[in-house]
Amino acid sequence: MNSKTITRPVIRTKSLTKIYNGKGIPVKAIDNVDLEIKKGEFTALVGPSGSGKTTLLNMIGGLDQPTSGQVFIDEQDIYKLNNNEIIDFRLNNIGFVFQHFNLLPVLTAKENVEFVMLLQKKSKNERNKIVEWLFEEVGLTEKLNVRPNKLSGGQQQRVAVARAIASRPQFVLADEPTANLDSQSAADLLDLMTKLNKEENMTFIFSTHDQRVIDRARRIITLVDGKIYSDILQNTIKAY
Amino acid sequence: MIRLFLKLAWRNIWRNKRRTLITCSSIMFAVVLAVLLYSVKDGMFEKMIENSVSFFSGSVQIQDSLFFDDRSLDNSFILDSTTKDILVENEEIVSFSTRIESFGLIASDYKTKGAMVIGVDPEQENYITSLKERLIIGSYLNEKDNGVLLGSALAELLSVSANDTIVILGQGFQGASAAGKYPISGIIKLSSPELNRQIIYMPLNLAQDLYGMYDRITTVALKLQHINESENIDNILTAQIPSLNVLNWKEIMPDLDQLIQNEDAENVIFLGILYLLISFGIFGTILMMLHERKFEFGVLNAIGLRNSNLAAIVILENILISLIGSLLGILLSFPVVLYFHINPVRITGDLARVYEDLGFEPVYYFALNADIFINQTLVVLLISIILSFYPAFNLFRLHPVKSMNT
Ligand SMILES: Nc1ncnc2c1ncn2[C@@H]1O[C@H](COP(=O)(O)OP(=O)(O)O)[C@@H](O)[C@H]1O
Ligand SMILES: [Mg+2]
Repeated sequence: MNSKTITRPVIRTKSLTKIYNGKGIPVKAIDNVDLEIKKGEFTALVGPSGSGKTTLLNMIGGLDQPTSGQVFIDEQDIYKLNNNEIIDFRLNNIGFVFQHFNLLPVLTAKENVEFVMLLQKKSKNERNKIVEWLFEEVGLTEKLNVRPNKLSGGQQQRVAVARAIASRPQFVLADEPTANLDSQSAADLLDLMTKLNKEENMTFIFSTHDQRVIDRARRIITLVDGKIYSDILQNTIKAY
Repeated sequence: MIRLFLKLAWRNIWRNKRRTLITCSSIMFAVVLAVLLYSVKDGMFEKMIENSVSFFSGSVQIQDSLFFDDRSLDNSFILDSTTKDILVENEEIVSFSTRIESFGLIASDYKTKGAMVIGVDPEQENYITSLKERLIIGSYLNEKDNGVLLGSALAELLSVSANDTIVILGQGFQGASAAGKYPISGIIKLSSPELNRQIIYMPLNLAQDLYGMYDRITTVALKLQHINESENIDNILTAQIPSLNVLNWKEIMPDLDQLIQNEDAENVIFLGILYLLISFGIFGTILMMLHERKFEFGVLNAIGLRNSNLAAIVILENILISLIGSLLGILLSFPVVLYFHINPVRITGDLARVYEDLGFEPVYYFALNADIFINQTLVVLLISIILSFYPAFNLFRLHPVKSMNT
């Protein structure tokens, strides 16, 4: 195993397993998965519906306890933490983008992005600097004081990405972030994530069905029946 | 962070304006009703206490230790100078009046009635009970003549008026029989209907003559600066004057105290039912809110908001709603209470007679006590905090993934 610090895994799972006991019949949603994700990766998690993408992302994100196995983030076994510790861990280390309704409807775009930084007790100065930079990045400087219901779906997802990044996490998990977007908005969102990955070396792991999105990933992990079916690096993206 | 939570809570409650307004107005309605109810109740009783205590008994009385159980003139005493000094030196005691309180039969040319015969020092008594102001016909007591004052209802019962003559028959000190014929110098009208039916005042020296009890009295009535200091002063004087019996107005008139407490209990039951109904309404909106925002709570928890903070936000929302509701209630009821405080409503007709029979003056007095407003706000706040336990408990157990899978 490569032990250089630049390539040390930020995420490592060990025999990760999740079994659901839905309606009497146990379902192995994730089956003994060993996986490493390194800093700066841009990874797509693909596979048919029900293959376990969401379950895997939730467990990596410290949202759902595995049935067995472990998740290490920066060598911290996250399920050894108590409830408040794991929430704080998520706040400081993991950015989330969900499929939809990411933003609080009562807060403006800016306030939504600021929210996590307020929870982190960042100073007003620091918050303002990050907000300014992020809205520049996501191209929504003129939508700063607009509430989510006045934003398009694509704009909302870009604000969600900005919020995910605002806490300066180790990585961002995005579960089908483009599922509710038209193809132009999906492409814009991918452009944004690619740019942040390149410029900021931000690590992204996203699940998707969409072939055009898959094409943009550098690493593609395919899940079938809760197991890793294939794990490949794409050369075309390597050129970046 | 508390500012962030307050901002969130404030904006959240206006997400569903209509629902919040309905909740607020139901709280407002309850507060208005409760405030008015308590204001009238307190007003009526304050007035009743005032009528009986301030205008008659005094807040605290000193008697011979046997007098309370056996109101015989044999259980009378001589007020010595040591006791007098104790009363004079106490700052809370505004003034005091020495009395003979007894019962007698009163006869006019037409009728005979039982009555309370009270011998008082005319000036002292006027100072503590403003007796002179109660005069409606004739002139006030005068130590130099032997005229007496009659309650107006008693005068009516006896079919007499000022300048007529009555005869008082009774039992005097140490078994002597007492009888005397007195001209009526004036008629007084007391606010307490009960007293007005059965009272006769005469100068103290005249009463002492009548009953053959020179220098002796049955009662010292005290006027305090604050009526609610009664129990306190009772305790102090009891310790200072062990040879005599010191009583506060609740002991002097246990029926009145009991009446107030019964009325309190009735109000608590009535308002309890009212608040229970409103609580169901509030609880319903809480359940709807929890259901509607389940996904959002999951997202917030996922991105790093602790369960305890989620609960805090929802509790804040409930507190804000009940604060708005009770504030509106206060704003609405205050002018009403103020108006009727200044302009009490006089009751007429049959209802007035019912009130009089119950011993109330037939007037709706409204008390203007800050306590009433504060208490209702606290009750509403307490209810909303109790009702918040349910969502708080739910949010403490919230699981982000389960919450988002709806
Ligand atoms: N809460 C749950 N209870 C029972 N079974 C579940 C639950 N969540 C997911 N599953 C099952 O686990 C498997 C993986 O689901 P999921 O991770 O959502 O797949 P994907 O995101 O790839 O569509 C599916 O068979 C699904 O039915
Ligand atoms: Mg999924």
